[in-house]
Amino acid sequence: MNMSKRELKRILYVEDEIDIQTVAKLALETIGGFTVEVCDTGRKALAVVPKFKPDLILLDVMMPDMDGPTTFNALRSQPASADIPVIFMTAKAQQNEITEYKRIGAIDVIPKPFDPMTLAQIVCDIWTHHGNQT
Amino acid sequence: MATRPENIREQLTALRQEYIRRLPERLGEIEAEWADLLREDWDAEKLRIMHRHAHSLVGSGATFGFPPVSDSARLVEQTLKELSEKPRPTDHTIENKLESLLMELRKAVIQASRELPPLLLDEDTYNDKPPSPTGKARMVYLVEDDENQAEDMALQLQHFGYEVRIFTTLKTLREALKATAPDAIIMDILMPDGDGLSALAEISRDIAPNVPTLVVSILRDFELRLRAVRAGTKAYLQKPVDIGELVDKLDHLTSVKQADPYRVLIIDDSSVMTEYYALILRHAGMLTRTCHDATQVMGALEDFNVDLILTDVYMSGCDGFELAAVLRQQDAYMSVPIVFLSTETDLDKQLMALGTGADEFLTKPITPHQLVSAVTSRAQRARLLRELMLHDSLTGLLNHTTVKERLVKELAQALRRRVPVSLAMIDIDHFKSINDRFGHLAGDRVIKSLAHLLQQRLRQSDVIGRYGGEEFMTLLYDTTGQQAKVLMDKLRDDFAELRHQASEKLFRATFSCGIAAVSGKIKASDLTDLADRALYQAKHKGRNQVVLVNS
Repeated sequence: MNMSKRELKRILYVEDEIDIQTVAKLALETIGGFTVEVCDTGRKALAVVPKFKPDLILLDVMMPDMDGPTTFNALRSQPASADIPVIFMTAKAQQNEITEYKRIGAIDVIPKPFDPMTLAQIVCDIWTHHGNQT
Repeated sequence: MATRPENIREQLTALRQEYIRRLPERLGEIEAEWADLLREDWDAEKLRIMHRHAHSLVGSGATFGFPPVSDSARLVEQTLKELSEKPRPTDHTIENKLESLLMELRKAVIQASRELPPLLLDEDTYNDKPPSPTGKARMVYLVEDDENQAEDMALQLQHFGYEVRIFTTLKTLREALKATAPDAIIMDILMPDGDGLSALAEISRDIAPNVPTLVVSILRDFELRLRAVRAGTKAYLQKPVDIGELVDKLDHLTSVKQADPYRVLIIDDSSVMTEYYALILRHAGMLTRTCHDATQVMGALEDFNVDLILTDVYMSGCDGFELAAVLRQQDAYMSVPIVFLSTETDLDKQLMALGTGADEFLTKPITPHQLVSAVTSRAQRARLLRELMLHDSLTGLLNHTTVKERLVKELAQALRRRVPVSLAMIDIDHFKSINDRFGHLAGDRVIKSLAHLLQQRLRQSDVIGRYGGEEFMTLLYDTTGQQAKVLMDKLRDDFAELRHQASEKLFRATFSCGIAAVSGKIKASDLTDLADRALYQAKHKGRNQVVLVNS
């Protein structure tokens, strides 16, 4: 998989909190110029991925029903989403947690709360960095 | 990257304000859940839900620029987690800790909501174009095959704040209804391309069931009226249509009359609590004033026009019972509802509170929803009663006594705020001869239509009263004489265009107006005299005009 050649265009954001959804969508679309789709549950994300075909998935850790890591595993086990890079978003962001998420396969972890004005840039940086690594 | 910082900042600001607006509600939810946990069985599921709600504030607070909200919510979240990991502890250490953390969170929420632009009455503006009371023009579809009649009626309705679209066939009406529904439909039932009543029946059944329909017709037989009722119409008016009656019906059918916000004075010696209650009530659209020292209450009540007083029971200096007794001894506050808010659960004490003149006893903690509904229902009833006492029954405007009292208050306030005010006295020209020629009923309708016009065109903060038989007084706050003159002249023109109806005849009426403008100290009676003299000049110079004098 060579990420550096692929351009980041489509992002799927999985987040149950409506306020954050709105701000993140606005930040990523208006500042980042990305095409953004939002899902409020992991289950919906699984259904949306094959149609939306995102380049990247942003995944909130703490959600009711299916939490972030569970959703992550489910995404990995279905062919349409097995290879799509995932960034976790978390309000806890303790070091051991970050290490754990990276260990299970997340390309990075963005701590919440995020600053809407810089979110797009942070996502871009992670994407570029990840592309260079692989 | 497609960066448009201006645009996104604006949007973020809007989102942020929306977020702040909803914050108290979300905090209230958490607090209610906590109260519930303490009162009822300690329930793991409830703890989990409360934890989720706290967690969501952690994530969102700082994103919207309120790190303290995130920080204090995080502490609440952590403590809840601690609590959920083992059975309910027997001592209250952690529970007490959580209480004080919730208090911190509340402070952070209050701090955040200071950034909301305040809701001020003073912000409303004159309506240069006739408005609807709701701010948005109400749309009426007028179905009438006689174009001249239709345009004439449309023009008249526009003066009262209605936007009118005319349809000369039923076919075009049906098409338009499919695109957008109006606020009301007025229909002449004799249409060239079909029977109006059948069409109305069909419309209210299939096309636009929620739109009120009114029928106008030259026909007067009972059979038709019955058919109209069966077709679901709300009114049947005989042609030629009395525009006053039509507007009355339309107002009634389409109105959400924008109520003056309730004014609530909150007394509690804890400033965090007063701010918090104030916040909840403000978000429900009320105006609030807070007072932290019961002995200062008279000052706080001054020129506030209070609708309801919300007070704590236990306060240093003067307790709630004493406060209620003091207030009830004064005529001005005899009928203002007083609601006690306290942790008191002792029924005897509550009864004692009611005995001293309190109207209701609410027990803390109270959810925002409970608080708002308790305050609203009390304030509403008190207002209705006051309404009956203070208003003129024909026009609904302030009556003579009240308008004079309000004048004194408003002048004092204008002086303190150093803003100009203008007092306009309006008198319908040749009113006696209108009564003589067309009858008293027609005269009453002229008075009502002028009252209507004034109410729709002036601001909520303006004082409008029926001063005498055909004489009206309005006090325009923060308005110079020149501004007042322009405004009253426009109203005078529009009033002169209205057509009034008496049996088969149509007639017009005019008014004369005298304005006295002031931007300093003046006695209310002197200002009234000045305006009266200006009115006399206007009459003397030939009526149907506005004369301005400066004090």
